[in-house]
Amino acid sequence: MEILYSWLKDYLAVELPAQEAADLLTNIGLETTVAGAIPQSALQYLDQVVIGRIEKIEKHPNADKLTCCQVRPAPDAEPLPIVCGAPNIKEGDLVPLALVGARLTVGILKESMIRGALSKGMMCAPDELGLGSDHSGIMILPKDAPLGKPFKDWLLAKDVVLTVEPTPNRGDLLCVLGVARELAAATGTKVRLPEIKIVEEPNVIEEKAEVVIEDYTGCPRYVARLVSEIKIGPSPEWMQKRLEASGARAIANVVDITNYVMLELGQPLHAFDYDLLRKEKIVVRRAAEGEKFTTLDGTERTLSSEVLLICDGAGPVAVAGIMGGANSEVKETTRNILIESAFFDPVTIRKGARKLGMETEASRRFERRIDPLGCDRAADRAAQLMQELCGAKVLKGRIDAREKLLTPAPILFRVGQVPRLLGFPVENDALQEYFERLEMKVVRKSDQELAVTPPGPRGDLAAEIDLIEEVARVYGYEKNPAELPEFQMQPLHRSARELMRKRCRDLLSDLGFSEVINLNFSCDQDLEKLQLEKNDPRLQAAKISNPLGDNWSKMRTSLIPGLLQNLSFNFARQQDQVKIFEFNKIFLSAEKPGELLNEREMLAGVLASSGAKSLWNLKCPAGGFYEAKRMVEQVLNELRFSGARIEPASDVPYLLPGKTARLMLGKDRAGQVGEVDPRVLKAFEVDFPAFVFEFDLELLLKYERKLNKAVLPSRFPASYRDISFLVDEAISHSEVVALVRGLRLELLAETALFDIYRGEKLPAGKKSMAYRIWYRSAERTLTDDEVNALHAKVTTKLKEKFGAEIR
Amino acid sequence: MINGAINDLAKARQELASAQSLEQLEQIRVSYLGRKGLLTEKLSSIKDLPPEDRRAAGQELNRIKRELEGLLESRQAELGKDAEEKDRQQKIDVTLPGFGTERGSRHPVSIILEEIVDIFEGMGFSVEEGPDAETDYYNFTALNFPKDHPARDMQATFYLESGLVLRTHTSPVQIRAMTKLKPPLRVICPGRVYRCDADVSHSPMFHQVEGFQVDRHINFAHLKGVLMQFLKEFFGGDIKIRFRPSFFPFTEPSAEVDIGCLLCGGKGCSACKQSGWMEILGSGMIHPNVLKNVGYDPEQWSGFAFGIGVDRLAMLRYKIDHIRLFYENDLRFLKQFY
Repeated sequence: MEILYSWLKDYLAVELPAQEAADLLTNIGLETTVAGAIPQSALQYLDQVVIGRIEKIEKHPNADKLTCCQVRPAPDAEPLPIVCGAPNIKEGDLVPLALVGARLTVGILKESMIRGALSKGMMCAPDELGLGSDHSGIMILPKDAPLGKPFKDWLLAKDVVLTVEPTPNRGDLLCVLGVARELAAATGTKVRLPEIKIVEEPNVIEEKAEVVIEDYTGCPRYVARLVSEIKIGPSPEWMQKRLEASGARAIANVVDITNYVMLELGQPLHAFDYDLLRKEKIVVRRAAEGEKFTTLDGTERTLSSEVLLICDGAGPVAVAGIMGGANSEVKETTRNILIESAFFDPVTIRKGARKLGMETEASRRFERRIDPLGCDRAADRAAQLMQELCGAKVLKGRIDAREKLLTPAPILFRVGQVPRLLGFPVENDALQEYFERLEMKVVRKSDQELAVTPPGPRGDLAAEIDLIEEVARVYGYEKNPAELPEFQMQPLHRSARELMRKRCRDLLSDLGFSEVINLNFSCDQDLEKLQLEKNDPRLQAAKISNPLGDNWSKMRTSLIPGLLQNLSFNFARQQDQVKIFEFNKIFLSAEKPGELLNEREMLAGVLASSGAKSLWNLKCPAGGFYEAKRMVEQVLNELRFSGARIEPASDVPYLLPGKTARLMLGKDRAGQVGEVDPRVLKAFEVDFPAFVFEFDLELLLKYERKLNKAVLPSRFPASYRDISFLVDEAISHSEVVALVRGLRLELLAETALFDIYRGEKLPAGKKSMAYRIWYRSAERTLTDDEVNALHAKVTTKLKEKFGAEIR
Repeated sequence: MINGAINDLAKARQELASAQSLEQLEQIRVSYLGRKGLLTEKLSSIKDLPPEDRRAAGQELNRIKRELEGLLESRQAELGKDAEEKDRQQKIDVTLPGFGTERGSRHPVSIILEEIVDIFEGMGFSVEEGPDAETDYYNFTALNFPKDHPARDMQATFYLESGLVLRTHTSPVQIRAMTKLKPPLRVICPGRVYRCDADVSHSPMFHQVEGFQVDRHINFAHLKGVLMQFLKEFFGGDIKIRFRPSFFPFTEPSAEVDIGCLLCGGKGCSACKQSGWMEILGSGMIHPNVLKNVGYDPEQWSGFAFGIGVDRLAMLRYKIDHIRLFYENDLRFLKQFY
């Protein structure tokens, strides 16, 4: 909410510069900024700067872009010659004029010759005065700026706009008086309330109108005033200025007055054209389901029972607390007015406004709860202003319909709770003073207990803890002590998840991969690009009801689309090698309806090279698949999953079936690695081969491993035998290793592949594999005969099982 | 035969002296001592001599052989030294780039997140995590957000069609942790959160660290103490810190914490809206209603809680003015961080 500072000052008993008032408000809990406030740092530059008037502008004899001006520094002083380069000045303009000796951001000003013309001062742009960074032209001051007066004084006295941002619990701060109350509490002063005086007519309102509340829950109180013989016209300039500074467009006096009172006191009002009411009666009731009504913005709205209506005995004339109706709107021809000043239930108004998709200045205030005790005063204030400004006659008395007055109840306040919760004691006298500053009533029940009654506008104060906050606030958060708590030491428990994440992150980034974080949103198109089968659970992505865009309409069910988009994004930015990984959750359907989603943390990576530039360090000797697989092995190794199996697989829709492996931990499939199908890559606009790896962290966590027992190295040397053989192409490396291991040779140490050869010299469909097989005993050095005997078993088995032809 | 051998020796001596490389030396060795070398042949022909001469000839020839071997060895040592010296003097272009894998990088937000977690772990806080897609109960109701209250508008919420919400803060983990564990507690909850908002400083997904401590004698001074300690640790000891009242439904008293603007040093600039201060985190004493909701007696237990915007701290730390950079994943940007 914006407030003209001069308006706020009307209610203050203390004189404060705007910035200081804003700081005090911020420190007591109402965030306040000042538009056009003078930065503290500018004050050092503003001495010896006066308000001057440009009397004459002539061309500089020696420079096209400069002018020679005559600027008068005071009404009775001679004009000073000043050379100026700014384009935005004209004769008669009032400007900040720095006199010789003035300290500006550009230095101390001296008398000088500029291209042969004398200059005895300087007209200033905002940046030269320390007022921001604007250097586009000289500051042109308003016509009413006092010639010859110190610029600083004028600047400090200038009316400014405060912007206050009340938190949603403080509806009472959505008005000027509320802000004044807060400032009064901060300074220990009292607010000056506007004086309300009305000259009433002899005839009473009850003869002319009646108010019937059918729903006391929705409308606990309805106050009405009647004014007659009003003259509709523009409101006075001072009122228009105040309204416009607060963002309310000035329309005509009656409407302006209702807005003004709302901004002043926080009570939204409505003015009905009394003569347009079909019966002399106001009825407050719920709308019927499907009832239609046209609000004053000309929109026909379909209502429901969640909406509260104001009716005139014949039908609706306003949506209560949200917007008036077109049928009873005040116009130029209006003569008599019924002023509504009601308290509507916050929840009812909120539900109604939501239902209708409307938010108005009135509904915003009612939702945040207005002062239930202030309806009558606000009605009087409006009547007073209509009398003073529109020549209206005010009928005697007001109708005040209500079941009971919503008077705030006293809150029991235990003095001992202050040190318990704030960490410092406050004397009872001081407590009482703090509460009274906030217009609360205090009754001392004992040394230990106070009964504290909050004022009407403070609907947020309902419990002892609310009062504790008030004490801390008025005492000042800055003055509250700070202290580190004492506690019983305990060993720090780090979760396995946290540790696993950290180790993998560090590992992969050390190994050349860059961590990315993508938004956890996706869309159908992204998933379609992955070529998933129709029944793939990843297609059942949770849908967002209110997405920020079509491509963010669903939750992610795979990290792969995001990573492939990152790939394409970076290739488009001439990155020729992309190695990235991401830790993030995927969101699969809940196992049972009504449960939380199946959120699984995944680790996925992609690597690809455009090969655009063949740089020194980019020569990857192994194919991309093996590089990706190496990352999987490194991660498994880091996490000590020695029993993990990486097996051929062909069931990942977005990977090439012949170039895919799955990662098995026990019976669980914990991930995969492979080359991305070029058709998928094309859909993501990637033109180069790409390789991905994926881990399901939830499954890795299930198989958490530690190094439990160290193996001691043998003191005896190992022996090896090399073996080279021809086999069918179909025999895989892992089958060879499994076969050797399957022999269960006690002294077998390691089976290491050292060559695979394919070539024209070999029979078709065959390949040559070469292994070095190590044998070792922990107790002795093996003899040649022993090793040969062991190795013969391997040779025999290879021949027997794979038809290997030993070379 | 012996004379021949003596001649051989003399000849070999000359050849050895003029040999310039280990390869030449090897040729010389082979020509005298190899399988078909001159001396080898002579030695093997000893068996053709009359038996009474064999012994003397053998001794003489072996002496000559040993001498030649000695000569070879010493020449080898000489030449080896030269070769070693030559190797030692070899030059390479040391200005060529190093070879091997280049290091990768860590995401700046994850670096800052880890730093925050580390500081709090150092103060005895342990980590708890929770789901991103939450129920209304954990995200709002249990945290004392009344139904149909404007406080619910404070955080623009994403709703899933199933009725779940994307958590708008990490505070629901506070409820889950307090429900699961028993006080006294010191817990932090890092995680991703979501708000229906996107501009220069807002991303619809971002990161928060929720933290709280519950014990028998926790008060507002402790909240200030712990947060000041954290901010000094994170930003450096000379940081200016300001606590001011605010409102969060799940804390009371509530406090917004500001630090002196890092760009202008408090003088006022556009980044801090001329105020000299920057909002850094929200905090407060855990509301008694929240304690009641998890079955803790607010007369016995009290606690404080806070929520730190990780992305914002990362933006301040690295002087980044647009949050978009964090989620665009441009490697030219990301590779700076590790």
